[in-house]
Order: sequence, then structure tokens, then C-alpha cells
Amino acid sequence: MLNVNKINVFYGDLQVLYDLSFKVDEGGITALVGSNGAGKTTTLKTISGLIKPRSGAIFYKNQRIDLLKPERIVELGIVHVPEGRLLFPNMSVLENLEMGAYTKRAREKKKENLEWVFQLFPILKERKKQLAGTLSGGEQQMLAIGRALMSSPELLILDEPSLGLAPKIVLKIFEVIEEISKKGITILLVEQNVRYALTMARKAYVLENGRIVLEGRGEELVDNEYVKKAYLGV
Amino acid sequence: MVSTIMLIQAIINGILLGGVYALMSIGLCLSFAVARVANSAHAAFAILSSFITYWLYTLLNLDPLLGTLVSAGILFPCGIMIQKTMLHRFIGKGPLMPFTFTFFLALALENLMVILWGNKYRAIVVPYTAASITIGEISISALRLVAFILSIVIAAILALVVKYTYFGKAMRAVAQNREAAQLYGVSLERIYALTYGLTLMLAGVGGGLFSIIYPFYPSLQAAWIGLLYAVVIFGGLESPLGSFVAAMIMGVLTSVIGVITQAMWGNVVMWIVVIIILLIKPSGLFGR
Amino acid sequence: MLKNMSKGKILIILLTILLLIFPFIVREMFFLSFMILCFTNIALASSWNIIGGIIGYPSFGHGVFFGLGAYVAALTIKYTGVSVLSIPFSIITTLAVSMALGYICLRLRGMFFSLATYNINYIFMLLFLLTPFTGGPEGVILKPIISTSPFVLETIFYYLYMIAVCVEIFIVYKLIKSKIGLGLFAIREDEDAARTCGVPVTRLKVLAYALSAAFQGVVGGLYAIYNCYIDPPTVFAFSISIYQIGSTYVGGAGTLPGPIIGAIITTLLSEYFRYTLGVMVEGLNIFIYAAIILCVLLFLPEGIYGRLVFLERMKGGKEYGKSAGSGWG
Repeated sequence: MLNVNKINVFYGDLQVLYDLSFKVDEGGITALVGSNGAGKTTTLKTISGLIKPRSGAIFYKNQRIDLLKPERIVELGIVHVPEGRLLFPNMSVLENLEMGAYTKRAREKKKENLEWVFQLFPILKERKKQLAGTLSGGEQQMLAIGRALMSSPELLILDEPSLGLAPKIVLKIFEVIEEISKKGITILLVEQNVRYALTMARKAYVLENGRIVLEGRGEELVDNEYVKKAYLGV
Repeated sequence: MVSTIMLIQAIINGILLGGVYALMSIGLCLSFAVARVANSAHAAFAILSSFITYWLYTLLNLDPLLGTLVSAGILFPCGIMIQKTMLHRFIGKGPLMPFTFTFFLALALENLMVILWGNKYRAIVVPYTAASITIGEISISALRLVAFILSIVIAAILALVVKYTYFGKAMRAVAQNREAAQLYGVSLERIYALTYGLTLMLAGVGGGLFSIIYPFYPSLQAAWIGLLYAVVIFGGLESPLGSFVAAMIMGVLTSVIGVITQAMWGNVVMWIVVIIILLIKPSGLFGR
Repeated sequence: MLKNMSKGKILIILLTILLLIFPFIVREMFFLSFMILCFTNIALASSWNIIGGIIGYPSFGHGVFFGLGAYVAALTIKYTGVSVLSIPFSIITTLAVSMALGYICLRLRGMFFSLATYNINYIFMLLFLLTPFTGGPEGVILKPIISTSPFVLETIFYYLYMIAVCVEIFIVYKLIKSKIGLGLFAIREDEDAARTCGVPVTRLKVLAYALSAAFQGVVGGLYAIYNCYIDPPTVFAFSISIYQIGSTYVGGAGTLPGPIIGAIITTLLSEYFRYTLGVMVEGLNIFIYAAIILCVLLFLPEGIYGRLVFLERMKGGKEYGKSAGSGWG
């Protein structure tokens, strides 16, 4: 579905990604793991169009997208929930969700998507008039995922959804991610919490210093010696 | 010296004046809040609108209130075009570049008007120009009252649009977080273009109404833009409500000081106030 | 490549000689007056360059010090009759006032600094208009300091202005090459980083502001003595403040030759337009001027000299001067 082909990405003159290539197959969860500074967020920002690669290309369903504007990429069905959530703190929960349905194709399905979101996250329904900036970390993450769903994604990109959250909430978030996946939405998951990511993922890639160093099925990589030593603290 | 009646008259005139200030400055505030574009050409476009309204009245006998609407309607696509062709280069790196560019744009526009129509006073005189309501010894100019009411109406409409329409939400989104807005599918280019169009349109409404109440000439824009910036900064550059309140306060202040001392001192005091505000609390009254 | 350096130096020497004998070659009042105008604009633009281009704090009301210098010089002569004191007094006053104002205003950044300086210009104009002590709207009238023929007088002022410009450019040149200059450029690039490097940012900012203000004061004082009449709308006119900005950007902000080139071009163009078109159509010359500035901002923000340096760099050649920034800050 998504084909990232040898992209080289720079911040100014500083190169961050080197000939990066990987694929996201339709359906299921694909994980991209690595430690801080490996280039995970940069990769996602390049996919969603916020950053342009200096060379290489990205294809979505055989259509080239790396040169498109971010809003066009959202229209195509790729929705990126960034690290740090990036909500609109001065808007209410409901307004944030409605903003999610900004694109034309999302607006058509606004009602049903909203119902589904409230079903997945009942607490958002409770707090729908509350300002997003006043929510707890976990609630904000739920809102961020909720509004992404409002954009009717085909490919949902999640950047560190567990960051800064208590373990109980992290569990709930990952449960929801699995449910979303079951509904047929393809998920690209970037996580520092490597264990969770690998257990959930059908296919996983390990990113280090801007390069893919390992790839394989999620459950395989959990048993991989290198992964165990470097990322699972074994 | 100054009697109580004069003072009350001054305060009332000040409130009405504040309405005019508010009308003129709300567009400036909007542009800054959404796109961080400091539109130094705001007053120049307002005066352009005054001229358009004037000529529509003089040549076609179109009632200036309607003329204002037409003029504003003309300025809307102008704004979009200017944004798309020129201003877009300067967005995203802070307000100084748009400030400087629009400053020279204002200079060019002002002198274009001087070339076309000369730098002499123009005024629109309609049958209802001198109409006023008299309560006791206080007289309230009907036109200024209309302008005041209109400023409130327009501010209210703008507030509703910003709160309830998708366009308004997109503007707020871009104002709060550009990157997040893009990820939600908002086209920054479109929003910037529409915002500047809206800004000039609001300047147009302000200018059109201004032309009915006061005489005007092209070089007036140089003094007015300083004033408008004063209002907007005082109120908080990103808060339309702040601009409104600041406009009222400035209006009353200018009027009262103008009555007590000589008219010009009111302006001096105002500019000193702005500098003080810039030093103490640059975010203004309602700014974050 | 060393040949380039002496080529430049030869050019400067030739130019200086040319300028020195200019009044004797061209015995026309018109051209002398034009050169004096040129010198004025070069001096103003070069001094604006210090805070606007080098440090990156674009002052939108810098002409206020021109006006202040003019008034101090005029009033000194009027009340003491000692004309030699006039310019030094102008310098002292503008230094003092600019240091005080600068210390306050330089806390503001970017457009807020621009607005504050714009307001100060207006405030001073109003102040001088309203206070009777300075003559109010009638201004100050002076007698010419020497009574000779107009042509000799013009020639004397030609040399006075020329000396002023040369001294100023020399000082700016020394400033750019010095350690202080390095600090100034650092402030433009990243003020906070400069601070952490130990650059005395506040002191340097005030110094730059005061120095450029003093230059404005000298030119203003000279104007007062030259023109023998000043009034607030003329010497505190916005056009003075604005022309400096435009000239500097056209030539290349932040460079040494930039403002000089820009001022010469601007003066040539505006005088040309004023005499051919402006006389018939009011406002046309300013309109064209503004349009040119807009084009420069859009397509050539680094200015003419800046573009030359850029092209030179691309060719791999030796650059002609300090790095050309676009002065945007």
C-alpha cells in the first residue's frame, strides 16, 4: 500500500535519513521501532508531506505522493497523528473532533465516524465540551486518535502513542489500536515501547541512525538476539 | 475650563469614535492572528475603499452605504490575489517581513491615489450627513451612531463565522498550530489567501464608512496606520475582542484628551501609551 | 586574485581624486547641489545600515535624529551665534537622546522595534510643532554662515559634506572590520546565541544605535546650516526615514558598499523622475520609488551589491566585502 523508496531527508544541511526504504502492506499493523533520534518522526513527517525528501520517492497505492502538499495527502486517506498529539488546546473536544472531519471525504462520513469514536472512547463523549488543553495526557491521546479517525483514514500513522502515559492507559490505547486495525484500517505504528509494538505488528522494521537495520515479522523480531539486547533490555 | 457637559459629549463622541477605530482595526487583528501578517497597508486600502465609495457616489449616485459594500466586495479578491502573488513569500518567518513589505505597498498605494486623484480633501456629503439625535445638550451624530452599531454587528458576524463555520475553524486552527492544521487536511495557502482577502474586505468596510463620516485624502493613511497598530497592539495582537475593547478605550482617551488640551496631544499620548505597552506587556490586554 | 584588491583600491583613489576636483570641472550650481543631495543620502543610508542592516533592527523612524541634529545646530547658532559649536552640539545631543531611547526601544524586536521608532519620529515631529520654544510651525531661520557668492558657498558645503561622508564611511569600515563588528553581525544572526558567547549584546546594540544616530545628527546639522531654514514637517518628515530604508535595501543591507550604491541609484532615479515627471504629476516619483523597493524586496532582497557578492561567490571568486545578509533579522 505504502512504498517508501530510498528517501534521503535533510534538516538544512544535516542528513537524517539515508536511502531509507520500507513497505507498508495493506491491512494489519506495521511497526517502525528505534531509539530516540533514530529518525522515526522525520520518516513519518516525510510521509505525511510536512517534509520533502531531497531524493527518493514515496508511493501510495502506486501514486507518487512525496511531492504533494500535506492536505492532499490527507485527502488521499493517509492520516498522521504526530508525536505530542498536536491538538488545538483552545478548542473543545467536540470541535477538535469536528476539525478532524475537515476534508470533503471525511465530512461525508462525519456522523458515523463520530459515533464510532464515542463508542471507542466513551470518556470523550463525556467531556465533549471541555477544552482540549485541559484534558489529561491519556485523554488527549485518545482525542488525537479520535480526530484522526474522523478524517476517515485508510492508512493511519501513529507516532509514539504511548509517550508519557501511565501503563494502564497505554494498555487501553493499544487495545483500541487493535480494534481499529480489525475494522480494516491499515496502521503504521512508530513506538519507543518496542515490546508492545513488536507483539502487535505483523511486519516490523528497526530504524537506527536514519537507516533500516532489521526487518521481519513482529513475533520473529521479539526473539531476535540483537533486538533483545539493544531494545528489550534482556 | 471644561464643563461636565463637554466632558460627557467628549466621552460619547469617544465611544462612537472607538466604533470607527474598531471597524478599521478588526481586519488588521485578524490578519495577524491567523497568518502573522502585519498588514501595514491596512489604512491605505481603507482609504482606497473610501475613494471607491466616493466615486461610486459622485459618478453613479450610488448611496455610499451600498457603495461601501461594493467597495468591500472589490477588495476581497484583491486581497486574495495580493496574497497569492506577493505576500506568500514572506509568510512563516515572523511578522517583520510582511510588515516591511506591506509598508512599502502602502506607500505605493498612497502615491498611486495621489497620482490618480490628488492629495486634496474629499468628503461625501449626503442628505443624512448632518443628521443627529439630540438628548438634552448632548448631540449624537446619526452617522457615527450607525458606524458604531455596524462595527458591533460586523464584529459579531465575524465572531460567529470564526466559531461555527469550517472556514472559521480552519482559520483558528492555522492561528493556533500551523503544522497540526496541515495534518488535519487544511490547505495553508488557501487559508492565508482567504484571510488576507477577508482582511482587505474588512478594511474596505471601514474605509467606506469612514468616508461618509470624515473627509479623507490619500496621505491620511500614514497617520492612521500608526493609530490602528496602536489599537491592535494595545488590545493584544491575536485577540479580536481585545482590539474591540482597545479601540473603545483609545477612542474615549483621544476624544477626552483632545477636549481638555489641544487635539494633537491626544495622538501623542496614544503613541506614548503604545510604546509603554510594548515595553511592559507586548501581548496587550487580551494577548496570551 | 591579489590584483583584485589593488584594483579596488585604485578605483577608490581615482574616485576620491575625481570627487575632490569635481567642483572645478563642473562649474554648475545644479550639479553641486545634486552631489550634496547624494552625499546626504549616502550618509543617511550608511548610518541606517548600521542598525538596520548590520544588527538587524530596522528603525522606521531614524530620520528623527536628522531632525534633532538640524534643530540643535540651528538653535545653537541662533542663541549663541557660535557656528563652530553647532555640529558638535548636534553630535552630543543625538548621542545622548539616542542612547536613552535606544536603551528603552532596543528591548523590542523586529516589527515592534520598527513601530516604536516610527512612533518616536511622529512624536518628535509633533513635539517640535507644538512647543513655541523651538519656533513651532514657523521653524528656525538662520543667516548664511559666510556671506559670499552662492556658488562659493555651495562649493564650501560640497567639501563639508564630502568630508562628513568620507569620515563616516571610514568609521563604518573600521567598525565592520573590528571585533565589535563581529559582535554586531552575531547579534543579527542569533541574538541569544551571541549572548551566550559572551557578546555584550545590550551595550553593542545601544552603541550601534547611538553611532548611527550621531551620523544622522551631523547630516541634519549640516542641512540646517546649508539650507538656512528648518521646520518640523521638513526635518522630521517620514520620507527621510523611509528613503534611508529603501536605499539600503536596494543596494544591499549589511554590506559596506550596499547603502552607498543604493543611495546613489535612489537619488539619481528620484531626482530624474522629479524633474521630468514629478513636476507635472505629484506623487509619481514616490510611487515609482516604492514600486522599485517592492520589486527589490520580492526579487532581490539581498540588494544589488548582495547579488554581486553572491554571483562572485558562485564563480568561486574572492568576495568584495563582508558577507551580505539580507538584513531581515
